[in-house]
Order: sequence, then C-alpha cells, then structure tokens
Amino acid sequence: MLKGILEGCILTIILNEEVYGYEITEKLKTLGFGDISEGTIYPLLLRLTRNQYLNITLKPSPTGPQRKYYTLTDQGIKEAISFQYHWQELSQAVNHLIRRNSNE
Amino acid sequence: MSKKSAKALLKRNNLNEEKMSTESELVYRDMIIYFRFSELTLFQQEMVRSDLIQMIIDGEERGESIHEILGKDYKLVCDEIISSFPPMKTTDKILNTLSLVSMSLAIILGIYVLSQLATGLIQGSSVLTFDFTMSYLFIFPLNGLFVYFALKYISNSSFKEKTKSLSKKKEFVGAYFILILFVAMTITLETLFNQILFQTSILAMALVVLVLTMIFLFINAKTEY
Repeated sequence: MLKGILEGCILTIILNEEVYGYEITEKLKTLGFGDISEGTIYPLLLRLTRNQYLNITLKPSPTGPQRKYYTLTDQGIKEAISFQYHWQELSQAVNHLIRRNSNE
Repeated sequence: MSKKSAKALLKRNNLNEEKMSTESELVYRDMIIYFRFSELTLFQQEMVRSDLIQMIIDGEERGESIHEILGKDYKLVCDEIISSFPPMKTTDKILNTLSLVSMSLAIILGIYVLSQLATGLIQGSSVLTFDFTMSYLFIFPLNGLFVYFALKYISNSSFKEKTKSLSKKKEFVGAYFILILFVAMTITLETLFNQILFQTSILAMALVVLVLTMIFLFINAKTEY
C-alpha cells in the first residue's frame, strides 16, 4: 500500500511540472517525506512508465549522460486524479480510526 | 527490441561508465552482474544500465556517494527494478534452458569426440569410431550440474558483505579445488563404467555436436536474452 501511495505522490509531483528523477526526490524531501533516494523511486518510475502513465523526454545534462524528463500522459493524469480521490477517502478513514481509538 | 539496438546501447554505456568513481564502480559492477543473471532481456539490462550510469554520474557531480544516490540496500533496489519488468514468458524460459543444455552438451560431447579422434589417429586405426560408454550417462548430467551450480554461485556472489565473503585468493583456491575434484570424478567414472553402450562413427558424433551448437546459436539469435 505504501508503494502505491508513493507512486501516487510521484504522479502528483509530475502533474504539476516536468521533472527528472533527482528533482522528484528533492521535492519529496522538501514536502516532508524524508530522505527518499533515487534508488527507491527509480523502480517506481519504471513501473509507471510501463503502465503508460509517463512520457519521457531526453534532455542534455551538464554532467554528460542525458537526463530523462517526465510528464504525464492522459492516462497518467487520470491516475493522478484517481489517486488524490482515493487518498482523501483513505486518510479520512485512517483519521477516523485513530480518533475512535483515542476516544476509547 | 532487437539485439542490434541493445548492442548499440551497450557500446554507449561502456563509454559513459568511464566517468564513474572507483568507489561507485564496485557497487555498480555488482548490480550489472546481478542483472546479467536475471530474467531481463539484453535490451532491458542495457536500458537500466544507462539509467544507473546517468544517476550515479549526476549524483557524484552533486558530491554524493553511491550510498546516498541509491540507498543502502542495493540488492533490494535491483530486485525492485527486476520486478518492475513483466515476467519472462514460459516459452522463453523453456527456450533458454534448452539453449543452455544444448551448449553444455555440445561442449562436453565435443571434448570427447576430439579426444577419441586423437586417440584413434595416434593408434593408426583405419576406421575411426566413437565409443559411447556407460560412464557418459553419469558424466554428462554431472557436467550439467557443475555448470548450473557454477552459474548460480557467480550470480549469488554479488552483494555479499565484504566481511563475510571470501577473499579473492580463497575463492580461486576453492574454485580450483572443485575443478580438480570434478576432473577426478570424471576420470574415476570413466574407469569404473567403461562398458561400451554403442558405437558410431566419429563423423556421426561430430555432426551431433554441430547440430547441438546450431540449436544454441539459432535460439540465441531468435530470442532477446
């Protein structure tokens, strides 16, 4: 479940702007997700690309090998919105559970 | 994805990986070997490799170590990458096993064909025959097992903790010892079970070796692995 949530967050980040791998980990860190390495998100990006949620553009980088820049496909946009909706439901349910537990 | 595009990517990767630091390169090599023994096609491996090279070189430019770039559990990262690809089709698995079996059989049979040919020529026999002895029934599977476990060992030798893994010298001595043991077992089996099961001409056996090699080459050309 956590992997799915991270994938959904990655889609949401890409929904807002075109980014490459490392930029995604930076965004996650500034948003408060803690230290997530590129090694963790790379397999997720592979999966998201395989599911046709992402478009890849190669752009030159100052260091040498070209960087992969990601944008969402139409399916990817739908999936990002679907994730946000399901997250609302899930977080409400979890919060409800915690409140109920602390009231007992 | 053709093997040609995979090979083109492979060449570009080999160029780019030069820029990597030595510390990162050790981990990187382990990962590449791990992928080579996985179910990924050549093109998939090279695609992943080029992504890894880009990640590592970019990260080093930012002053990060490979720990920080990829996380601490490299094997987990590799396993996650492998599982993100669709699984190998059963037909491809069968073809792969078939090609491996063909090749190892071709090699060991070829060795025996050559040795019996040499013996026949030296003895000056007029008719060159190949004696298929009972020992071959044991030696051929033994050879197969040996190849299988050797490959398994190499693929699992990545990512061992440096403290737990044997030093290179000990590994070499161990491998050498096992090889000697294998040869000794082969010779013992040959002596014990030297009853001839059937005889054919050397030429016929050489043809069998050729056919097995062609099977291997054909499957290799047709699949992506």
